[in-house]
Amino acid sequence: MLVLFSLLFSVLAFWAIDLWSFALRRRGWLRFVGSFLLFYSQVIVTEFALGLFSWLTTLNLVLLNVVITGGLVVYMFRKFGRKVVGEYLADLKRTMKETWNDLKSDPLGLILLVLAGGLVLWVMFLGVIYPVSDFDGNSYHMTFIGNVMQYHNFWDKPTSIPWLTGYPKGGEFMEMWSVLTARSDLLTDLSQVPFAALGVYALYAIAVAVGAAKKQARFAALLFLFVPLVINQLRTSYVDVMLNTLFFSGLALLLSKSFRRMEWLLLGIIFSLMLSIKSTGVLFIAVLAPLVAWKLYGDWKAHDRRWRVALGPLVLVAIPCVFGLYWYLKDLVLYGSPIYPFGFKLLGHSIFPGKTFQEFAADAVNGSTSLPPGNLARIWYVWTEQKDWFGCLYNYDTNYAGFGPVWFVIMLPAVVTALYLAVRKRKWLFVAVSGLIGLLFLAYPSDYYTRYTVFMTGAGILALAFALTHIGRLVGNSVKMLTIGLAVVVGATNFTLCTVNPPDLGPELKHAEQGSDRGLVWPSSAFMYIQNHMKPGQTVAYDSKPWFIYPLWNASYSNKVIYIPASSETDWLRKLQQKNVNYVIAQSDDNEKKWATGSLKLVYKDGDNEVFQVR
Amino acid sequence: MKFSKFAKEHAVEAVFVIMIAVCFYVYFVVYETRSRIYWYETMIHDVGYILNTFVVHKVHTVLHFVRHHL
Repeated sequence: MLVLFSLLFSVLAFWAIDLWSFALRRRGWLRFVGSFLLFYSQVIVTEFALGLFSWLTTLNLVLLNVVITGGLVVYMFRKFGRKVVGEYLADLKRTMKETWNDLKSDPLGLILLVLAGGLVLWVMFLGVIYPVSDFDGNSYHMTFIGNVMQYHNFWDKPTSIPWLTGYPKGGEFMEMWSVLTARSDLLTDLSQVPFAALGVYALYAIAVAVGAAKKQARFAALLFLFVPLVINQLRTSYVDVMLNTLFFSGLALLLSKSFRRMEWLLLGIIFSLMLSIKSTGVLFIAVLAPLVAWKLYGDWKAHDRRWRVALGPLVLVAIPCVFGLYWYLKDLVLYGSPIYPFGFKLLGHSIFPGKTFQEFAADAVNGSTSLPPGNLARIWYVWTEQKDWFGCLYNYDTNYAGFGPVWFVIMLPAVVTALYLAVRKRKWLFVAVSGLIGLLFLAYPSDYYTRYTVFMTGAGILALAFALTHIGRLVGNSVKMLTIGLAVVVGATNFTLCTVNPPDLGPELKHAEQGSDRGLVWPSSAFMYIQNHMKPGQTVAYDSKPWFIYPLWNASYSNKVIYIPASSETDWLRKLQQKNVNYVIAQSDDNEKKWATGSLKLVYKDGDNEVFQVR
Repeated sequence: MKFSKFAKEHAVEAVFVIMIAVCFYVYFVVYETRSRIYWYETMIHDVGYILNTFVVHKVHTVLHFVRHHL
């Protein structure tokens, strides 16, 4: 029931903000992006405020948000009267009717929309049926949320996974809304689904702004949902779709003609979220900076060249960025590097200690990788998709798979064609936007890794929309039909979502069907053993080189999960007693496994994972 | 309409179509390994698995989910 409540309450809170936007006469893309970002801002601000005082519980969070949403509704009724709801519903009805009429006259667009809708619904079905089963989620994204459920705050806890403390937590703050309000992670691996919708709408808005016809912009923007990486990540707790769609939103916002104080504030929220989702968010902001400067220059000219007035809106950008910058300041103070666990080097000189992002990425793919040496060769190898990933071609995190056939077969030629047409027709805004996306691709470290560079598909989508607008109908429709065929291929080869090897799908489902907790076949049955044997209030300790932590919590988060730093076996065993630890899990041949062997009772073993009983 | 005028008007479209054809050939024909994985291992295997697991025998998974989680 709580899951349903969580869903309904989220819809209600979003609706209240959207109603307010409607009353303020915001329409179309600007209204959608405003409501979307303000809803997530409400979520984050309330979680942050409660977490500061260790009050972040389900009850407190729901109560605070009920007060905010209720207050907003009451305020609107008093200011605009109850008739605003009737006008809102009439507008909704009118928009739906217009959209339906548009789609009726565009059968190819309608087919693609039906395919996209079906695919997303299928992904959501799998997301509900399966537990969170992605690598990084079970390692640190979801573990952070488990810690919040356990401690009711977001302060760093002792851990042996530096990602858990160092990684900025904007994505987790948005993901944990569903966990906190539903007291379940059932919907958490679908947290990126709303962002996919945001991305599609943003790409549509950008395409129209740079000179594409609405019909072609709609068709092309939907293709974002047929990027294999996007489909696969929509059912994980990863954050790449969030980051990339926020970038598209920033771009679309900066290209909108109407740009007032609210838009500056929304831009600040986008910057803050991008910073707080990943440290590479700063690259996205750097690429958007020329457009910000262009807007400021326009304001400067409009305000009699007075800098003070023109630069004033930057305060509205800076205020939301407090949340985004908090994580870097915290890491700098606690760990000596603002981008911990990464370090930073400038011209070979270490500015902040630790391995750089490039060194991490190089280590991750060296050794057993099939990738060829050289960046260009890698991009070609990946984009032509020459290698599978443990039997699946696609996966949410594989560095072998590219952007799928729609990108390679349709969008790449579209980029060349659209750039030629844009130069010939002097559509410089299109050239500039494409150039900015291209620049981001060149600046991005390890850009052959498609998970990091989903934004490139945005360039392809804009190019296709632009090219379809400026070529003949016969060729345009033929290209669209081929695109639909390729979209079907993408759907057919991605709808199982290869989070585990194909043969494991059945057994995993069997566990889900039996109402088992998370963990399941993957990562290991040792986690299932712990979940099944832990009683509420009992504690499990993990070791110093764990692969996964999150599956150690049971589904209701009634047990405790901790890490115990220790200098010696005696010290560790003493602390196990002090902390009332009941079980220890050792996932690698590390100190804890050595110390536990002989001193504690081995109760379960599964591959490298060993479970010891302490008391 | 003279051929030269027709060709000039549709040259961009022709180049666009040729590029698509080349990319299609490279993607689906040149890299045979990728195609094989596509059709034999991933798609057919998983279509069978999903249909068998989710639809034919396991419809009650949905009912179970509704009963236990909602």
